[in-house]
Amino acid sequence: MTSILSHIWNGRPAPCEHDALPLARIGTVQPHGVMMVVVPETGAVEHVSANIEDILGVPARAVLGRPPMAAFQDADSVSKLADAVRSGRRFFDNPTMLSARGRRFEMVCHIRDGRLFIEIEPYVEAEHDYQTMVTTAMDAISRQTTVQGLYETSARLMNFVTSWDRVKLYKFVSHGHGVVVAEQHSANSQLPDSFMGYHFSATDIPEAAKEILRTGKTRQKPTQRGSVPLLTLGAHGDTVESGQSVDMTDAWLRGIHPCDNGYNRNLGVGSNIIFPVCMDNTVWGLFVVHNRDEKFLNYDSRAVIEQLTMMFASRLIELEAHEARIAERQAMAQQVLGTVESAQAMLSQSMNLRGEFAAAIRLQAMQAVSRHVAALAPTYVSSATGCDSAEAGRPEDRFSADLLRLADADGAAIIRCGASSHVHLIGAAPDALTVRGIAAMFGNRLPGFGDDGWRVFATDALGDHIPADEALRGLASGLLAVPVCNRGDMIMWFRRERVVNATWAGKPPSAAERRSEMMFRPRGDFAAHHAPLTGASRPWLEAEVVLAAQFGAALGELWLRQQRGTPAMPGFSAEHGREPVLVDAASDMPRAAEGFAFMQPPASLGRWNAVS
Amino acid sequence: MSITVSVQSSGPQASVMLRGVLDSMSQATLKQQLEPVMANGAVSQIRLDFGGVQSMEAASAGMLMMLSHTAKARNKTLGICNVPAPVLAMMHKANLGKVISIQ
Repeated sequence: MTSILSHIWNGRPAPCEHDALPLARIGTVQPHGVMMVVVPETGAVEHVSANIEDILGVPARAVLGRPPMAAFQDADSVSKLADAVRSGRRFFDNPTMLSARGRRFEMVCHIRDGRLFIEIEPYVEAEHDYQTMVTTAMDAISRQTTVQGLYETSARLMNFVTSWDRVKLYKFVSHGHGVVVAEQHSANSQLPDSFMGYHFSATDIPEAAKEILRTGKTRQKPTQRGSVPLLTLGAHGDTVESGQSVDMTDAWLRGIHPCDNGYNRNLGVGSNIIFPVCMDNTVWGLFVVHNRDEKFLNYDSRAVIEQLTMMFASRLIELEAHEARIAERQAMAQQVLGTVESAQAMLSQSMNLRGEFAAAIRLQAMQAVSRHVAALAPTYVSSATGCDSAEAGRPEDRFSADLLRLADADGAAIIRCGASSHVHLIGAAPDALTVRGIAAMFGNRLPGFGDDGWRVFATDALGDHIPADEALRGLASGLLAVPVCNRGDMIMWFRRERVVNATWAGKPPSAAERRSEMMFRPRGDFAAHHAPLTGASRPWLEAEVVLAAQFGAALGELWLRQQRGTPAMPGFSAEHGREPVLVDAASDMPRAAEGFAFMQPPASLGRWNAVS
Repeated sequence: MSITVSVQSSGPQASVMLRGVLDSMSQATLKQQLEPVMANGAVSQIRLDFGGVQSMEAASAGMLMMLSHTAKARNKTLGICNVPAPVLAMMHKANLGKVISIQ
């Protein structure tokens, strides 16, 4: 089963020239550490970074094709390395301390693609011991009661662990852009400029880089001094560059693209670490930590911050659900389903009646069921025009209002397919024809609902996926859609466009620039640029998307249960198969004294007779 | 999407069997099911049996760290056992063993 987040489509809509850069297979290593790639079966080094002689005093040729222990003389270090390359090892208690040339190093190991990666970095003292850091983080995060409080506390904790100049918490929003939602500076920060509230263009992160971030891998770039090549043995025993042969996705020392180095230098940053916040293999956002000067962070400090981001993600899910009153909305969804079920029972019973009072009893049943409830019932009642609309908020439309509140939407549409197709509109929604048009795009311009456990689609920016004029974007930039059963019936919820008067860190590139060589040059403009962020609604929360998916699935269950349990009715099973039954409630609906809108059959009950 | 939790208590020990997928949506279920165990003063050791867990993601690792912290505050120890290889790989990547005992 895929994650619910993979059903929320808010990424960058247009590709960039730099998207396909081979960043995981960049073929270079950062200059401050040594990487060795070992073939576990032979215990021999297959690749080594060219800086091994500078750092460990051993030439690359003296290590390639030999055990990694060849790089060390210190007996304790040799023993630890021998243990790391021991056959069959899959997991490592990182870090392991090594010594060479009178210096201390940290060794970090991992396995990827059947190769053992050994990364050796100079050891630096942490600001605090591991237990202090992790206990402080757990304690502070567990005490947060608001989302914004969690943002700010986590940024402070990052600063506590690193003591670097500036920490930014960057959240991905619509169109793949990001916005800084919290920022923390050290007391003596050498990077006083604030980016709080600034938007950063989605084009800042190539798709290949985002793919690596999705794995949850922290990206540390303590220096901006370029990279050194990874070497291997050539056909004639000479050393040659490894090129793109090694996948360094999980490596700390993976080399930095010159464009990325330049970006940081232009930002005035000497050291930079990025900690992705991942939820269900989707990147929610990033903690970005900057220092003006070169500065290193040891493995335990990085481990604590990685753990902090995981705790942050866990607590964020709880707090977002709490603030969005998801529990209340779940209860309301249950009530809505209960109302639909009991309404349907009443309608079914009334249709089976025969005899003198049948018509009157049917009329009574109809009067007890709001037309909006009926729009969700397996047997639904509608006007013959094929479209109804409701204004949420009127007392008689409480059910409609509940349906909107369920998703915190501005509008909704219930689309019924088949011979008696129908669109039921609620609140601020596009017209019926447009709604049908959107529904028809699932499976082509919009992704199909599939059958991976979650049958739902959500986007904050519908115009990124289908042609949408100003009117459609205004009403329905946000779309949350769930199918009911498999026939094409569907519920859509809409959110209006919300235009944000955004301040950007530099002017975002134009469409032409995104497809040009410019994308391979480091960005140098980070000055405040004011431009509205359009074409997007308030974001759908993960919990809201889950609730909608569960509601659609439960409603589908209800329909199937009804169909299984309903005895064959004239006009229901034989003629219409499993088609829902259309009953025309004439458009001249009377109102009850308290203003409740009833489904009123015509005086003759002629159309009722058609299904009874 | 879903996790099923069954708890067996015997004196100071509680064994919690987990089955399913531990992701951002199911973590609330686990926390809710564990709350009575956490609140039980007679229980001092909680063992989470991961034998039936098919996968686990990063936020859930964060949730386990917070649970461990809560357990410690209530004078209980929290341990994990019977972890399938793919889940164990994720736990190692998260350095979870630095916070919770994994057998």
